[in-house]
Amino acid sequence: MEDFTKELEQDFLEEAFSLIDNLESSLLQLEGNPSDTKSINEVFRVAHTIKGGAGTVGFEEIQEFTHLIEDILDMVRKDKIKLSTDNITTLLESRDILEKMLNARAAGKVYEDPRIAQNTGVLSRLKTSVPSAVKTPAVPAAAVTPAKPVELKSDKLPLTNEDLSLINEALSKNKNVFILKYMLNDKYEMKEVSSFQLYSLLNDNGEIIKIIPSLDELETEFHREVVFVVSTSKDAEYIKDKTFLNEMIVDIALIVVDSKKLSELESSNSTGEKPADISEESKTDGDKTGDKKNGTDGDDEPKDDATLEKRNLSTLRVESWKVDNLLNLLGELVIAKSTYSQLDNDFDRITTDIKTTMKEFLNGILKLNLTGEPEVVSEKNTTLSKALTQLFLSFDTFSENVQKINRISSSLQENVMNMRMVPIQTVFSRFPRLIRDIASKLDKKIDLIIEGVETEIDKGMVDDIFDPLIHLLRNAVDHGIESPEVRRSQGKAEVGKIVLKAAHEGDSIVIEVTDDGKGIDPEALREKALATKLMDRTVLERMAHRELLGLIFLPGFSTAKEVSNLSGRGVGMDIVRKKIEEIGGNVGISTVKGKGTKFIIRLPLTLAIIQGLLIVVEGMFYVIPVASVEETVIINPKNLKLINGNYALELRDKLIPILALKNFFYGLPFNIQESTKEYCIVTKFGERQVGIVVSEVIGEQDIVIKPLNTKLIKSPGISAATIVGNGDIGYIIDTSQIISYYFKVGVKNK
Amino acid sequence: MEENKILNKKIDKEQNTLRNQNILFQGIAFYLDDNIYTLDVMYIRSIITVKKIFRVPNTTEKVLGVLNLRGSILPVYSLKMILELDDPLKNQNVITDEEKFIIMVNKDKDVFGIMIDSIYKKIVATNENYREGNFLKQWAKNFIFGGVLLDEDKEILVINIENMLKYMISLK
Repeated sequence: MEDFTKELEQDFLEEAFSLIDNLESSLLQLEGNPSDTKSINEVFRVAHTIKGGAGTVGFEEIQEFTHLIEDILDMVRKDKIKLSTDNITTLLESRDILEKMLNARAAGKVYEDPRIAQNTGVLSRLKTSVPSAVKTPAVPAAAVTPAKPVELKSDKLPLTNEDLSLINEALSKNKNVFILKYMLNDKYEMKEVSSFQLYSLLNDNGEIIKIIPSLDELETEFHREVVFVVSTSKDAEYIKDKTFLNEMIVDIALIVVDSKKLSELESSNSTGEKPADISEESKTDGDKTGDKKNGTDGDDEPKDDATLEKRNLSTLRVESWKVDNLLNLLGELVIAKSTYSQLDNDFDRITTDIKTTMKEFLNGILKLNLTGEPEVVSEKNTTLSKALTQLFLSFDTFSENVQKINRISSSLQENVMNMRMVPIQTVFSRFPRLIRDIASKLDKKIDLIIEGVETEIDKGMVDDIFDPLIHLLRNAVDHGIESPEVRRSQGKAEVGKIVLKAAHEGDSIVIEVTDDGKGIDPEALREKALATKLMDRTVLERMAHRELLGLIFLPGFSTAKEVSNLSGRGVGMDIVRKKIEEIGGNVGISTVKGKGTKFIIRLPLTLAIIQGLLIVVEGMFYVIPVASVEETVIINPKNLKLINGNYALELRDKLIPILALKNFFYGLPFNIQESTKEYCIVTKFGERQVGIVVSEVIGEQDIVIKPLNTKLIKSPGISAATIVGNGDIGYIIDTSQIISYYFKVGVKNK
Repeated sequence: MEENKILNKKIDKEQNTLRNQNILFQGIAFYLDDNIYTLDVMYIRSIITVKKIFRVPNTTEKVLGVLNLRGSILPVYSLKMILELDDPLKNQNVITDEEKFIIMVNKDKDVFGIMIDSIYKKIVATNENYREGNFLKQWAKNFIFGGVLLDEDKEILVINIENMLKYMISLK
C-alpha cells in the first residue's frame, strides 16, 4: 500500500515538473500576447491538473496554492482580470514557488518560505480586486441571487445507454418519466441532507433512474444543483408539489420525457459528443478529459483533440536507472565483442601463418625419403589437408558471425542510446525567462530566438549543459548586447538579438549562441594577456587573432571586473570550457568587432560509449577520444625542432608544440632516433594545435566509459577508464587537461 | 549426534557469554606482515583474491592501482604504504600476485580495496575486550586507528574507516 502511494506521488511529481515547464513558456507567450486564448487555457489546465493531482496524493499546501492560481487564471479566462506585465511576473513567481514546493515534496519535505505568503498575498489581492468576485468552484455565484430561475437543458445530461433503455422501458410501461433539476438552498442548516431527502421522497413516488451527481459524490460534498431522472405513475404537478420542500429548495425545473424527447436524448448521446456537465464539481479532479471540458467554451476545442491524440501515442514510462542498467550491460557486450574482434584478427593471422608454413612443410616432405607405404602417406596427407580446410572454414564462419554480432551490437547500441535521448527543449525552455529577467534588470531590449528545440541529447547531458549555456547567455546579455541608446547611435536595431540554436551534425550535437552585440577585440585581449604576464611576450606577439580569442578560455586569464572593462567577455569562460570538456565536448568562438559574437559548442551524441583511439604507453593501454583528434602522423625526426628546450614538430609549414605521453605519465625522456617509429597525434587545444607523441597506436574502437572515483584517484590528464578487449584496464585521456598542465609547467620553468 | 549436541552447547555457551557483554561490532582481522589489524564488517563489501591491478600514473604510491570488479573500476590501496611500512608491490605497473587478498570496503558511496597479506579470523569486539584509543592519535599516521582489541594475548589495532577515507581523500 505504501509502495502504491509512493508510486502515485512519483507519478504526480513527474507530471507536475513537466507541466510547470509548460507553464513558464505559456506565461511568457501571454506576456507578448495577453489575449492568446490558447496559452490562457494551457496555463489554466496546468494549474488545474496540478491542483487535482496534489489533492489525490495529499500534498495540501500545493493543492491550496494552485487552487488560488487557478482562481486567478479562471478570472483571466473570463476576462475579469487583464494580464499586465506585473501580473505575469507575479504568476511567474508563483510558478517558481510551485517548483520549490514540488522539489521539497520530492525530497520528502514540505516547502516553507515567507515568499509563499508574500506571493499568496499578491494573488489574493489580485483576486479580490475584481468587484463581484467571480465564483470559485466551491461557492457558486448564483447563491447570492436565488431569484434567478434554474436552467435545465436535457441535451446536456450525461445519460448512458443503460439509462436511456431504462427510460424507454418505463415509457413502454405507460409510466411518466421526468427530468427534475433542483437548486438547493446552501444557507440551509442541514443542506448536506437535502439531496437525500429528495432522493427518498422521489423513491417513494416512483423509480429513480439516474442522479447527477452520483450519490457517492453527494455524500462527500454538498452540491447546489442536483438532477434526478425518475419514472413514476404520478403526474408532473404532483411530483413538483411533493418535492418542493420549503427552506431546502430554491427552485425546481422539470422536463417531461416522452418518446419524442427520448429520441432527442438518444441522438444527442449517439453523436459521440461527451455530454457537458451540469455543474463543475461533478467530476473528479484526476479525470483529464473532464478537466479539459472544465475549460468550457468552444475555443479550446481543437487543442483538446490534439492533446487527446498525443495521449494516444503508445509511450512507456521507464525509470532512467533501468535504461542505465541496460546501458551498462550493453557496455559489457561491447567489451566482449571487441574481444571477439581481436580473436578474429588473431585467427586471420594464424591462418595465413599456417598456410605459408604448411606449404613449406609439404614441399620439405616431398624431398624426404619416407619409409612406409606411399598410399598410407598420401592418405594421411589428404586427411591433414581436409582437417586444415575444415579448420579454415570454421574460422571463416567464426569471422562471419563476429561481423554479425558487430552489426547487432551496434544497432542495439544505437537503440539503447536512443532511449536516453530527450529533446533539448528541456534545457532551452528555461532560458526565455532568464533572458527576460536579466534584460529587464539591465534595461536592455533583447529578443531571444530559439531554434532546433527538437534536437535530441543524452539525458545525462541535460544538467551538465545547462550551466555553461546559462553562462554564455548571461554574458551575451550582460556584455555582448549594448544598451538601446548605444545600439541606436551605432545604427543598429534597438532590440538586440540572441540566437540559441541546436542541431545535429554528423556524430555530434552543435549548439550555437550568437549575439549581435559589440563583439570582442582580439588586440585588447593581447594587451590584457601582456599586462597580466600570462604568457611570454614573444609567444603572445606571434599569436594570430584566432589564437588570441582562445585566451579567454584560459583559467585565470582575468577576473570578471577587469574583463568587463576591457572587452566584456571572459567571465568564467574557463569554467564553461571545463564543463563542456568534461562531457566530452569542445567550445569554439568567432567574433567580429562591432557585429557580434558566436560561441559554438560541439557535444558528443552520448556519454556512455565513445569512439576512441587506443594507444599503448609503456605497456599500458590509453585512449584518446577521437573527438579531440585532428590527425595522426608518423614523426619524421628531420621535422623536429628544439625551441626553448621543448620540441615542436614542423607540419605543413606550421610548428606544432609536442609532448610525449611516456614523459608525461612515466617521466621518461623523449628522444627520437632514426630507427624508432613514433606517432604524433595532433589534437586541438582551443584554437591551437598540439601534438601528443606515442610509440604504439592500435586503432579506433568503441570505448565504454567507466567512471573513476576522482576523489580517490587524482591523476592529471586521466578523466575515466575503460576495459579493453583483453580485459585489461585502459585510461581515457583528457587531452586538454594534459596540455594545459604541461603548458603551465612550461610557463613556470621559464 | 552426540558430537553435535556438545558443539551446540558450546556455541550456546559462547553466545551466552557474549550476550552478557555488550557487543560493539564484529570485525575481520587480517595480517600485514606479522601485525594483525581489524576492520568493522559493516563496511566490508567482499573479500577477493587479487585480480590484475593496474597502476594509475602520476598517483601516490599509496594507491597500488585500479581493478575491474564486475565492470566497475575501483582503486586499491596499500595499507602497508599508508602505515609507512614497505610494500614490495609498490610502483608496479601491473600486479598479479594471486597469493594476496583484497578487502573491498564500502563507506557511503565510496568503494575501494585494501590489499592485505592474509585473513586471521572473524572477531567480536565487546566492551570487555575493546578499548577506544585516543592515545593512538598522538602519532599522525595512527589517526586512522580507532582503538585496540585484545584477543587472547594479541593486541589488534582497529581501523577507523571514516578517518582512513578522509586520509585517502587528502592524499595528493
